[in-house]
Amino acid sequence: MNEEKLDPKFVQKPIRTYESDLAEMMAKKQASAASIAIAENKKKVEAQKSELDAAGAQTTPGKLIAQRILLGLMSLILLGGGAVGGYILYKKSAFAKPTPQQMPIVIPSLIPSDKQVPVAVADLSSTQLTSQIHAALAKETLPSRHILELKTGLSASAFIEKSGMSMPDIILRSLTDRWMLGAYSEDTGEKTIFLALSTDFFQNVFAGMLAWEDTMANDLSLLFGFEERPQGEFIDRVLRNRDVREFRTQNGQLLFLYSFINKETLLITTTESAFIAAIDRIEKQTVVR
Amino acid sequence: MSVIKHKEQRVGIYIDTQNIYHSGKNLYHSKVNFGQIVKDALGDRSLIRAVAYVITTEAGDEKAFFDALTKMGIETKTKDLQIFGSGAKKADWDVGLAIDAVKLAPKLDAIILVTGDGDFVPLVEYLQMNQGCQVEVVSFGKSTSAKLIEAADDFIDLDTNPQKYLIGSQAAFRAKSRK
Repeated sequence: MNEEKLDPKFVQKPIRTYESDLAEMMAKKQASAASIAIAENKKKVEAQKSELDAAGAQTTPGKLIAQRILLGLMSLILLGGGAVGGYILYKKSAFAKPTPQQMPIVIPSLIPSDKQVPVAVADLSSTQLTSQIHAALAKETLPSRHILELKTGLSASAFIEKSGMSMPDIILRSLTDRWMLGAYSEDTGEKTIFLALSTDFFQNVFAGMLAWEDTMANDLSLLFGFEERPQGEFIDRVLRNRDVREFRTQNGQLLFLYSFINKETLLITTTESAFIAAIDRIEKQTVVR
Repeated sequence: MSVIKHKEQRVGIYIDTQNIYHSGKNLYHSKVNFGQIVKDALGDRSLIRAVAYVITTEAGDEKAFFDALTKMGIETKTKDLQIFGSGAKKADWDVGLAIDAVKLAPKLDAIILVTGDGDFVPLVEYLQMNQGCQVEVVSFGKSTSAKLIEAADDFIDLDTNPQKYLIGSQAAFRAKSRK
């Protein structure tokens, strides 16, 4: 058997080691140990880079958006916190302007008055309520032809209910928040009580007033101070260009009257002079505006 | 819009005289024949009341007009024209007319408002919904509130035949028609 003699340079060694491979490559490519080390390092860096790219490719777009939203939210929270902190510091500092005091809302009287007097009636019965009102009025000195407003702190419907009037619901439903319990000082020195109610639907209120007429005289007797269950009838009159319903007794004495001063205001009182004074005040107010 | 006008219907007619008078004057330079308006608006139904709401001035020139209305069977309710210190004048029958209509509504089947004033829309709605009345409006269409026409059960437009409802305007009207 002729065995071909091979160049020992190209003979495969039975055991390969890194050292032998290195030596072989140095011999084959005539490279230095340093250039091989550089090439190895380069290979290592490229391998790391490709690993990172593979990991990046695995991140889904959804995850990316969530990450961005989270980042955005965190930035906003930080910004907001900063702003709040800044504001608190500013408010505590000497540069901050003092907070203006909230002024109490003053609702002008429905009928311009010369004086306002508070009357506490919240926990009283109907009889006590009217007595309290009459007592408050008696205490006040009021020059002739002046108007006084009695401030009860109640809404119109609450006052009507408390004073024991059986006013039909159709009226109560049509009343607004503005109302006034007042007194007019007559030339004789007597004080005439009046009740001014405000409505946004006078047709309803007027129809309700007509329905109330059967018991109105009795219901108003306590507040207006005339005898209970008076006998009489309603008659129509025109006073200062207003249609007035007057309740007169059988001997012709006027007990009370009611009328719409305008489309919004219903006035109930006991004398024509108080009625005219109230109209004059409202008309003056309108002209002044 | 369909309305029933049968002869048993009890009718109340409320005339806003100022409104109609001024519409006739401004649109046709003529006086209005209120008698004819009442006659046509009523038809063959039963008239319970016809009331004209008028304003009197200090001069009192309106007396003849009021007498004429009374002769036509129309009641008149008068109010004085109020003149304030500032010179402002005020007189309106809005509330008075509405109060009368509300008062008489339970006794009426149909209410005729002779006006073009849109302020009466709430009254029309009240009379229809709360009193069950048929509400008709009579006025010059050109000067009538569209909302009032819409709210009413029937609307008689005096503009469709103005000659019939105007007085002493024949020459002026003919001249206008020719144009």
